[in-house]
This record gives sequence, C-alpha cells and structure tokens, in this order.
Amino acid sequence: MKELEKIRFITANFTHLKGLQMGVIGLLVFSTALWSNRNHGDLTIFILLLILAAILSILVERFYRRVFGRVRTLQKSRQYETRHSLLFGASGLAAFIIDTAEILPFSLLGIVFGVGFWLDYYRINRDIEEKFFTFYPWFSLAMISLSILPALGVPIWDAMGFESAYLGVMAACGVLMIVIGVLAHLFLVRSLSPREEDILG
Amino acid sequence: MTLFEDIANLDRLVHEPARMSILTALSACQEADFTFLMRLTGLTAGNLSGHLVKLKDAKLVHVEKQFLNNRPNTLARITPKGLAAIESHWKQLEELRQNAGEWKSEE
Repeated sequence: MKELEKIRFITANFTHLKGLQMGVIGLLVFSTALWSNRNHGDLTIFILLLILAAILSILVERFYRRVFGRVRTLQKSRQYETRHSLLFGASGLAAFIIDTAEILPFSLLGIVFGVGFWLDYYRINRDIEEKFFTFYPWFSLAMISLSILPALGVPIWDAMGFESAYLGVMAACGVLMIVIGVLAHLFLVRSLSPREEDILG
Repeated sequence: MTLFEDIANLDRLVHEPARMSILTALSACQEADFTFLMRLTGLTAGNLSGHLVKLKDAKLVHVEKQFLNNRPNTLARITPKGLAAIESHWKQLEELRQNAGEWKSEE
C-alpha cells in the first residue's frame, strides 16, 4: 500500500517535483538580492538576469517533458494551486514593501516564505499516511529563525555584507529554494525508473 | 466468506501490479502521457502498450494519440468506471490486510 501511496504522491505532485524549475527561480531571487545590494539604478544586469532565468526555465521544462513526460494535475488541485500562488504572491509583495520601508525590526518576507513552505508541506501530504518531504518544516523553521534574528539583536546580515536585512533574507530564500529544488529533483530521479534506451545505452 | 474467497474475488484485471500502478497513477491526475507512465512503472514501451490496451478494452482508461511538436504523444486518462474499479480494489486490499492482521493476532 505504501508503494501505491508513493505513486499517487508522485503523480499528484509532479509539477512540484520538477525541482530544477524552483532552482531557477531560487537562482534569480538570490542573484537579484546580490545585484540590489551592490547596484542602485542600473537595471541592465537585472534585465539580463530575467532573460537568463526565462531561457533556463524553458530549457528545464523541455528537459522534464522529454525525459519524464507530462502529467496534467486534477482540476481541484490546479484551483488550489492558483489560490495558494495568488495568496503567497500577494503576501510576499506586501512583505517586501514593508521590509523595504524598514518599519519592522525583523524580516516579514522571510516569515512569509517560511510559513508558505510549511503550508506547502501540509498540502502535499494531505490524504496520505506516509509523509514525504519531511525536510520542509525544518527549512521553514530555519527561514523564520533567520528572519527574526535582527530583532533579537543578532546583526547577521550586516556581518555578511548586506546593506539591509531584507536583502539578506531574500538571498537566503533564494539559496533555500535552490536546495529544496535540488532535493525535489533528486527524489523524482530516484523514484522514476530509467527508460529502456537509457539502460541499453 | 473466507479469506481465500476474498482473495479469489479480487479483480485480476485491476490486481495485476503494472495495471494497478497505472490506474493508481491515473486516479491522481487528469491525464498522463506514455513517457511518464513508462518511467513510473519501469515497464518497456511494448509491455506498457499491452497493459494500456487491456485497460482500454475494459473501458477503464481512455487513450488518446496526438502529435506534440511533430512527435507522437499518447495521453491516458482514467474513466469513471476505472476510478470506481481502482477505488473498490484499494478498499478490498485494505480489508484483506486488516483481516490478515486479525488472523495473525488470534494465532
């Protein structure tokens, strides 16, 4: 029965398991934070980063389609996904605006990311006995902890050379997304068998 | 009904491991293509094709062939009859597992 649950999990969450896609977004978030930390006004590098991320995203999607095939998720999952993305996007944007105004002693953006990943863990594991991606809550906890460190008087982001706490948190979110993306990709690769032609060479 | 009779009553078309995996996967999505199902089940193209034909003949799945970027692409989706069959099969398996557990503890 455990194998059947795993089959259901992989099929229902196939979009999430295409981890290299999240890796590309993480790379964009991380490099944008680094770029913002050093540049003020010149948008050339940022535009180049966006173009590079778009090209990488298309290539990654083509790779997944060719090697692992296509799955269209259930309509109710797509609707839930859209609601979750809209809510997460709006919260993230609001948190980013509040963080740039430097009103709060902690980073709201990091907390939104942390809570978002935590909620995602419960979403992907609902209706199944065996739990997958158990590292999600730990990453969430790490993200929330890093976000509140400045409020506790730990100048972690200053020590790392970031002009503002929100840029440091943004960079950390980027790294976290890359790590989660790689782990999801490895799970997918290990779970799906190699194709016949891969075995034959 | 004895445990043996319960086992004997399992739907063999659905119970075969490859077909049970295919139906389980298709029950968790709207549709999936041939490459994904091949990867998921570890079957060769020929074997997967054979199982899909059997499921299609029993009207448990719907198979659609199309061209995507000038390449042939086969999409499979579960039918309402297929969904009912696999859900009933899981239920039967779960009941069998529970019955077997009780029988072991009585020993």
